[in-house]
Amino acid sequence: MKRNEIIVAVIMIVAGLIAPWVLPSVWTTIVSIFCYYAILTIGWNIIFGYTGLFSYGHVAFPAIGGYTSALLAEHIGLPPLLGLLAGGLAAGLMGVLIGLLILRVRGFYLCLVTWAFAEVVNVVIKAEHEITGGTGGFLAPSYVSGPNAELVGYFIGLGLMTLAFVVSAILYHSRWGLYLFAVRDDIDAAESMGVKTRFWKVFGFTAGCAWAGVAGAFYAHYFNLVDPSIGGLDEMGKVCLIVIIGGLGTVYGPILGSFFVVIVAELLRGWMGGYSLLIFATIMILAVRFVRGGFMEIIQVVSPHLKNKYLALIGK
Amino acid sequence: MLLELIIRGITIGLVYALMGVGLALLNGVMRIINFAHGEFYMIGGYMAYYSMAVAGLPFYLAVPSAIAITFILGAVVEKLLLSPIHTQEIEKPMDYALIMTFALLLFFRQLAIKIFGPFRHKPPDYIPFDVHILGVKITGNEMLAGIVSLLLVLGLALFIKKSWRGRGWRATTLSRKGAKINGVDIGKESWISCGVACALAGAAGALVAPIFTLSPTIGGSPLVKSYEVMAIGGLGSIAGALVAGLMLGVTETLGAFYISSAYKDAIGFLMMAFFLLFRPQGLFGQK
Repeated sequence: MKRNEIIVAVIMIVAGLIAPWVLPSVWTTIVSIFCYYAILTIGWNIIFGYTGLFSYGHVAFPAIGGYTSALLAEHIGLPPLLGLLAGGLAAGLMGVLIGLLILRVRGFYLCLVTWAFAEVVNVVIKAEHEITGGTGGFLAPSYVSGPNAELVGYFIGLGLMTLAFVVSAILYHSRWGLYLFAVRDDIDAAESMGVKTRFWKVFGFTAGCAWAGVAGAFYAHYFNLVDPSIGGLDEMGKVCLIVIIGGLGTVYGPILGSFFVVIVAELLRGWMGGYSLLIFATIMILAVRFVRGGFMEIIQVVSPHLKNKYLALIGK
Repeated sequence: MLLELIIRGITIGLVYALMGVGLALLNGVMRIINFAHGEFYMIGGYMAYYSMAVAGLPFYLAVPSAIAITFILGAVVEKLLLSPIHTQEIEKPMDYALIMTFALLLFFRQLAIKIFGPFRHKPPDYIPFDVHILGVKITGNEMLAGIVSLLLVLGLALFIKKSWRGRGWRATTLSRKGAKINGVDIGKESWISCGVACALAGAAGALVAPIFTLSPTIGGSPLVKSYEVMAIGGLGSIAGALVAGLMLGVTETLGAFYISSAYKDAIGFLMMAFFLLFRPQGLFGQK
């Protein structure tokens, strides 16, 4: 990890710890939603941003993780904290299977296969309503019973998000990260340099899916409910939106994007009315057309100027 | 019963084929895929509704006007948003197009919710009487949708086979550089073909509008179907798309009746995943 990333992680933890005592209680829920999307999109950023696999079925994995955790809690009484692990493992295992399957396809075929997978998962969840509760959803227990349940859930979400951020930052600067970037940038060159591209593709895909599973399990136990809508097309749109707005393939991108799409949208709710998704879609179109790096690119372009101004201001 | 299911399957399959052909054309000429294809279907349906219910046009003018509007919209989208694919050098044009068209999907859907409202609309029947084919009763709307879809698909195939512009498109599909050297204006052909592809989706939406009611989110299902058609039929193959559309329509209708209606949508997906993984060139493609 670089210095800036440690600073950001510490700021996130401190701000998160202070927030429940300063802000009205509705904000713990909103920040928890922010944590869910941040974990989910960090996973997608590893898959698409780092490894270059356009997975269109990413939202199937939170559904898998959430339902696994909720079903295990219901039938064998697994505590929710272990359920997070179980959800991540289940989604990761599924990620390995799908990852091995999609080694055969490239480019947008990959997109279609993963999309088909997500839709099949969604159809199965809706159709097997005796097991999963169908469209009505399935109840999941909270982390702890009692009046503090929501606060505990919030801290768990904060911890998971920081963990996901730290892991993705370490991956970004590590040798493993370099292998993933090599697979993304030029798979043939990577292969000829001795990178085991098949392994790293499956690795990147699995890592992202496992985080998505953890996010799903967190969501299920936080809201006490998991329903098929978390695996829908609109959710995939949001994931894509968050990462593109934030900055694809960067460490901060998913956090920044989630911040805009969840928290800023909430702050501007009165002003934007029901237009927030329309506005974000417009921003996404403009970002893809003109600033392909998202907000991170803007920050990277602007920050040296600001630094110079700051240095001039303090007289250096 | 079986005959009735097959006839219904063929009717809906022809509409699927019409959607799939548009995608196949776009994939051939521009080498991109369009996630917003279903939204043009939705827009086409609404345009037909408004030209009938508000402007008071008869259906034989409403459907062409819907086609014309979606053509213009598709061409504008290509000019404004997708043209960097062939004017600037983008590192990964496929990824660019995937993200851009996906953003367009979100944009059009949200815009439609704001403009058209979340309520369901239904244009008046195009042909208000039932038709009997081989002793099976189908509505006039279904028959019209099937026949016009078939005519449009065959018309497009003929256009691509015979006309000068169609030859240019086929040349671009084979080799972009080669076509450029031989005087095909890639920029111009791109926006025309994008407009045509979107107009085909709009035509499908306008034709089935009185059968399925209209709402801003109806674009999802036809989008999925058109991808299935394209993946099964093979990229860029019109005959493949036609056969695949019929196959998909009939299999789905039979599957929904004999296996389970809850798994109706999964059938197409499993077929698509099977073809992509084990026969990626599709039914008639060569590799």
